[in-house]
Amino acid sequence: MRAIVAALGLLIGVLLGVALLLLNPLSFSQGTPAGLSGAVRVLGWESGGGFRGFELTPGGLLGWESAAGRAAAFGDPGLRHARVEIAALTEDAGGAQVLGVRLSAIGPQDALLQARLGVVTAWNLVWPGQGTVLLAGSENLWAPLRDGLWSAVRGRGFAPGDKRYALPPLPGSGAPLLVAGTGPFAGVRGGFREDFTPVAARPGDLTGARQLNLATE
Amino acid sequence: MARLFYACVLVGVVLAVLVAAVYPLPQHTRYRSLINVIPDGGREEVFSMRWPGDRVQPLQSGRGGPVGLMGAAAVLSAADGASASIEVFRLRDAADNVVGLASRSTTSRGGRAQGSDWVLLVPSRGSLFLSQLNSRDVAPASRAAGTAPATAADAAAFWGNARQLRITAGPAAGGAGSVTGGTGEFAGLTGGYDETWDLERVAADGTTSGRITLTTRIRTAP
Repeated sequence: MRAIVAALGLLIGVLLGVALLLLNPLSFSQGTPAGLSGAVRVLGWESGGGFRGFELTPGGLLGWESAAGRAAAFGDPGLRHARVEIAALTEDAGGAQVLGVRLSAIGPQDALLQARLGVVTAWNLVWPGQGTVLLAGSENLWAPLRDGLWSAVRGRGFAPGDKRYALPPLPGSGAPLLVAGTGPFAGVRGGFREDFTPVAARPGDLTGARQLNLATE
Repeated sequence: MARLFYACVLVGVVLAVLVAAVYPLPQHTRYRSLINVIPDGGREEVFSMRWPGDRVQPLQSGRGGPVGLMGAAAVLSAADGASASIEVFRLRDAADNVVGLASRSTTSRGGRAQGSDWVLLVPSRGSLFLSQLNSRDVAPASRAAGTAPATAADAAAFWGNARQLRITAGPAAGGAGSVTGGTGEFAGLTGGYDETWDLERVAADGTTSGRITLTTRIRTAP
């Protein structure tokens, strides 16, 4: 009888501990997405075009590899937690197509106790025949992870829901920046923010449907 | 019995927090940075990529939407006929260790001048952003009658009798490219760089192999 009570207490304690971690007050205080000022271009893209590197899933961020993940991962030790994808982004205004490459790596300062689990990113966007922009940023994926795990605890599988998450930068990484540009973007200053919307057909996929909001001043 | 239950609940909470504190999150493998100090100030760091061995192709055939493949490059064409291409490579340091990823985009920049941007991501150190005008047309194309479109370096016809080509042609002084910014250990740096291609071998079937070298000369931005 004592063993059963102890085991039950331990189980409830562990669940409580996990809940405490997920609802870490830090995750709310540092969850403010980057503010954007100036003219904002909205560029949409989706996962599914193909990538190489680690899977952008809860397991991938924690260092676990699925069979599919092992096939896409790099064998080089220096690239084990790096990722590259090429995407065609569509501008909301006018529907122009933009070619983009997104290099990312698991955040070097990630820490579960500090509600910090995400990636650092570097973008190169190319408007064919016009110009390019180079972007440097990071994104903290704690909020969709928290909601997805809460959904899993309730037996609904990893499903963060269908709301759009404005992803904040990783604490200490600074605001996502437009580093440089050419053509019409030469000398332009600005910033950007990525929004993530889960795709029901791909549970656990933290790329999902994306919106890159590029602000220029 | 109630005391035992609550004690175990407390132990469970502490256990969960402890596991979160010591859980081994992914860490990036770091190689020693190979940097030369330049006599007149700043530092020089050389990165390289081999083709075709270091090429990375993330696009899966037929899944890239409007993005097509020309040889090893992803290509997007606009309605006015202008096009842009992206190539991705494993990035090596001066000791030939694979230390990161590099992407190279190429397009004309208003008018006829063609330029390229490089993004170098070294997971353990940060990102470095480079931009240049090109000394010649390096966009993927068919360079000889009857050949399939390919990236410039891969086409024997592109080389003629040359074995080494300097691709960078500005916009910085001396025809160097510009180091436009960086993050992590590369934050707050500025400077120039050169991109050179070395042809090492032309196979009987016309395919080539060689090395792309990026020689960066950077210093702290004033």
